[in-house]
Amino acid sequence: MLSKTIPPSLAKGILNAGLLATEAGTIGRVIGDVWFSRATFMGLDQMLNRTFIPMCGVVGLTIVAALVSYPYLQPTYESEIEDDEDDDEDDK
Amino acid sequence: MKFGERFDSTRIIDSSIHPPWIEHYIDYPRLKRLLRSIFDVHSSSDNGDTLNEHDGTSSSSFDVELKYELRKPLYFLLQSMGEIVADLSSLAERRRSISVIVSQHYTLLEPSSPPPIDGGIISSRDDILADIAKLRSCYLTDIGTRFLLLLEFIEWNVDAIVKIVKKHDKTLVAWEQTATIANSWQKRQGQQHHERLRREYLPRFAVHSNDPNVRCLFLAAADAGNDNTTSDKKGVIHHHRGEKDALGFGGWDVVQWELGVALRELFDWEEMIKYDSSTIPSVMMRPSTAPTTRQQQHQKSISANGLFKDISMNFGMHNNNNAIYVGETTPLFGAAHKKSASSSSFMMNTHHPLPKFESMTKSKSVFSLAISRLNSSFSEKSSGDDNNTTNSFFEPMMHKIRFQRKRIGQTQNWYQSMTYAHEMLGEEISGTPTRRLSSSSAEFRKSRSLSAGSEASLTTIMEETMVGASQFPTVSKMSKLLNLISGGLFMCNYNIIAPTSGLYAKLLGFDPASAGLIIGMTPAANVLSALLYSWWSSYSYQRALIFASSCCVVGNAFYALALPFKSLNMVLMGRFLTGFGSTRVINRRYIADYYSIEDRTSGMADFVFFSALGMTAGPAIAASLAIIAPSKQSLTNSWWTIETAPGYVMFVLWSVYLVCNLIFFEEPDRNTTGSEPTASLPTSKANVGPTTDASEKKSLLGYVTSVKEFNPLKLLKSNCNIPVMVSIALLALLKSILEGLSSSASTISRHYFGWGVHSSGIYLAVQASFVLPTTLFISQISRKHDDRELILGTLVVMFVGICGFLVYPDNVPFLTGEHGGYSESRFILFGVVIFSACNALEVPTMVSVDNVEISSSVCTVKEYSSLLCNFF
Repeated sequence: MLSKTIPPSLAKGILNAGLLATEAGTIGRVIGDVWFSRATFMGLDQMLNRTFIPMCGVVGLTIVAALVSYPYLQPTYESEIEDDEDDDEDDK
Repeated sequence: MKFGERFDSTRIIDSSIHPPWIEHYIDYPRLKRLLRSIFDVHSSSDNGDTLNEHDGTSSSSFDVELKYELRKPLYFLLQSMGEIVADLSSLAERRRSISVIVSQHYTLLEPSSPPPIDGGIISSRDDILADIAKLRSCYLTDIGTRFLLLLEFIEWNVDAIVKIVKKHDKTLVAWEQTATIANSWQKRQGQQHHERLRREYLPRFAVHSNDPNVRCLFLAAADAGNDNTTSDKKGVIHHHRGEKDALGFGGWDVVQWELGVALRELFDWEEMIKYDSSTIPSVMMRPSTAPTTRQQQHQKSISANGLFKDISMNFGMHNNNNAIYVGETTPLFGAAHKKSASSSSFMMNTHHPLPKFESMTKSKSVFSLAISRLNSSFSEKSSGDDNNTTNSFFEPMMHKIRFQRKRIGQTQNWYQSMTYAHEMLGEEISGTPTRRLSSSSAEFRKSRSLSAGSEASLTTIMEETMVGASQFPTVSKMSKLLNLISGGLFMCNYNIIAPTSGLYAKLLGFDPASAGLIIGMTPAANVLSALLYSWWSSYSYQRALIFASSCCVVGNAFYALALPFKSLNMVLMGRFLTGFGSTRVINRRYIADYYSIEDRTSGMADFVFFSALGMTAGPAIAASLAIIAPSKQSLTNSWWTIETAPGYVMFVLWSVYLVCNLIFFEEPDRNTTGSEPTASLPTSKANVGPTTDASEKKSLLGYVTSVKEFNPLKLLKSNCNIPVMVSIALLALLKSILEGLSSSASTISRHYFGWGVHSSGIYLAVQASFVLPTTLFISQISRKHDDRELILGTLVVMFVGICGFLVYPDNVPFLTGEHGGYSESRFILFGVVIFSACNALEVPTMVSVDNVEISSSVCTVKEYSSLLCNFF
């Protein structure tokens, strides 16, 4: 979906969609590790639930958010892209 | 030229439109006018006016009109195909008649042959040649040309549908964006009348449409682009059954196949008769009642001309230069003589028994000998000059048809994996299929303008095409392999410590919870390394890869030596350095820049495959090391333990990789073509090649400018729409869950079930082995389902998986036993469910691995295995 919805200005340059995706994934990993470490430091008995109950809640909220924004979760067109009047491609 | 301008009922501009069929084309201008009329009405809402809801002026009415327009080309296509097949049938009858005449012609060469069956006059060679030429002309005009035009016809119409649907959706989105909050109620009312049509008409969905007309048209177009025939240098036509064959009805293949077979047969007959014309009298009249005289005449003529003087020498020594079709064919002279016929590499392709078959079998030997002689003649010519193609079969029409179908196939593949972002970026990124196909179209039209039969001209075109292809910057297979290996090696390195990190922390006197910190150091470094390599790969791939692998060598050495030195800081530093070994940005960009457009998708699939392999291999190696490395640590032997062994192993592997990289990796020539370096996009939409000097300077200037104007917050604020933000949030979410699951697996299993390193390593390896099947599965069903449907589905599965993974109190009904009945089977099952759901969610979120195919991965393994075998 990301590749279908990124604005063209995020397709190249320093802050491109690929870098954003990589950074988002990496930060997600760091969060996951820190969260697990925090839960483990608080005791092994409740480690599993302390790690995964919040994740379960976040996933539940994400499902709700996805349902609410469902109509928007599809490709969009950017009005700034004016390839031509008909949105047709040039036959060069 | 704008697409809409190509089509006008009063004037034809586009050469791909066939004027006599104009009424059967989709009326693109009419649909465009209709679209304007619909949305011009609604645009008044911008001014606060009441939303004017005209009866019938909605997406549904547009859909109705589109379906009406769509029926025109579809019905005409079906009708034309029927006519072509009818013509093929009648021409096949004529071909059979000529085959009888040709065989009768050769009967005369046999001294003991009976008189002609009809007792009539044997046609002269000139007559036969004239008949063959006439029949060939019929095949070319009635079948070939019409077939070619039909291919162009369907391509144009599918193109028109995709474009008008895109235009509809784009206009709708623009309308939605211009609606203000004040008239949001009206907007909602309007939304009830409007819906995007991409879900119905985007080719990957349209082939599964509930509307038979839509489905049929798009399947026919997909089938038209699914050309599985190839011909080798000898003109032999091969047909391969493609994996997409199951989707199509194969009608295009039938016509193309029959046409090719017919033209080839006519060519062979013509060649044989022409050959004999120099050795046999031009006209052979024979009365049916004078067999003896006829035999004597033929013996004389054969003797005089020495036709079979060296037959005994040549028989059985011919090559396969003129052989023929791979497929089901029936030898002209029956099964009893199939061996003879095939040995001479000549098989008549006819699916019907010939009339008066038995009488003709008597002429078999003479006919076979004549063919044998003909083949010998070809063989002699070929041996003298390998490039001599005077007598080889070459039919420009077949070349054009294959070219056209290949072009349609490219378009169809493009549509299948089409993303709207691709279309938006089409003019900005060079080398997209749009431009590529345009140039292909130009080449094709150039070939069309050449006279038929001009083999030299067509060869020139093919050479030009090859020259064009050679301008594409290429890198060696070894370099590609090294690029892929670095990705796999990092994933291996990343996961190899997961089963032992907790033990390592404990061994150093820290809480096992530090395992999360040890593992987390690597992604922390990735945040920086991604930025670094994104910049560095604009200038050099090899140096960046060498730096990354050097960091891994040092990092693993630090990790392994931390135990003797009793330093957790060394462990953390080692893992941090290892994080700089993540070259995924480089790997993706390398594939985008130096793989041809056709290979790029499979290149990305290879990358996914190698990464999955590394992900599986890491824990598997750790599990194996648990067997060979000592499990009990002692102060006297703290060098080689279960905990340090992964560091040593990865140290060695990275060192070998570093040496191989220094020796074999070829830095690509960045001066080959002219285009800007690509951004490391999540998909393969990148330019064809690296920069020229001029463009590099230009891009560097642009870079300086962009640095000055660089304002991340402004850029993000102006560009992040809801889907982008949701995608990035989902990505962060799934990675955090994935990481939590992997990092905690060894600690949880040890705490609840007493698993050791070996067991948890195997568990993680098994878990990782689900990456590829999951990705393949999602890629397959993504052709039928929208991304948002997949995202929602995988989120629900993930939620269920986490719910099942949790430990519940003892008093929960149905859950009995210690820890609420938490068992190994629950841990394994729901762990795999969560892991698979996370990986599945990544596919629709990123769409970076569309079209990942098993065949691609298998081919990759075979290809690179053979490369390494040859090397060693």
